[in-house]
Amino acid sequence: MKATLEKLNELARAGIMEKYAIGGGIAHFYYIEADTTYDLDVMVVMKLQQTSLISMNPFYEWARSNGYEILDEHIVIEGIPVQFLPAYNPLIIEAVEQAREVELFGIKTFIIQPEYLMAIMLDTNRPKDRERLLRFFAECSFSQELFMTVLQKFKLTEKYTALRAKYGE
Amino acid sequence: MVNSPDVKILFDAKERFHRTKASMRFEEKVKEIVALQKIDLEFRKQRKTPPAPYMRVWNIESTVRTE
Repeated sequence: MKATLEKLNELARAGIMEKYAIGGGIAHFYYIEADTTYDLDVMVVMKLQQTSLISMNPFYEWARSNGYEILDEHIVIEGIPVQFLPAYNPLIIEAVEQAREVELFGIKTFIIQPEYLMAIMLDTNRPKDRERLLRFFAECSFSQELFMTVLQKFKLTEKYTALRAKYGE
Repeated sequence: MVNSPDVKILFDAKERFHRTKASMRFEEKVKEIVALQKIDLEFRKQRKTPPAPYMRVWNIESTVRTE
């Protein structure tokens, strides 16, 4: 995994993505008990994202020119299937911009903060998200103040109130 | 039954177990994920539900450099 993380930084240095942060299951499992997952989701902010259509082609071109296997939307980078996902809404863009710098396997990388991951789960609201979100409340140390600020900013307070009413969290 | 003291002790212990697992080092959690991938793929084989192409056991020891 060390080599995979090194390659993410190489992509950023090459300017293929402006900023990135680990999201999805692996980011969740950084904060809560690990569960089965098969891919590493990387949320990316691209250059000129505000003004032009987002194309993920540069990632696939980079993969082909570096001999990395492409499996549907995943690129297998140094033994791990990685899915690059554009930060597709203001919440996710801010989550990437505010990502926490950490060192994993001795490599500097970025991971979305728990309060933003929780807000994203509340926003997407699939059954899997609700189950994971409840685990965050039980297992993760997070800032209630930041969480509430993010919910208010991105108009998710009502969804949170509904979740609390249903599950008593 | 669920409210009995004995059951509460079991539930509390289970909660503590999950909290301990949640506080493990990330590098150790990744090793657990790899172990879970092996178990999940074996179960899928038994159930005859083929995994998607990207569902494979991670090689977390890769040190290959192409730079």
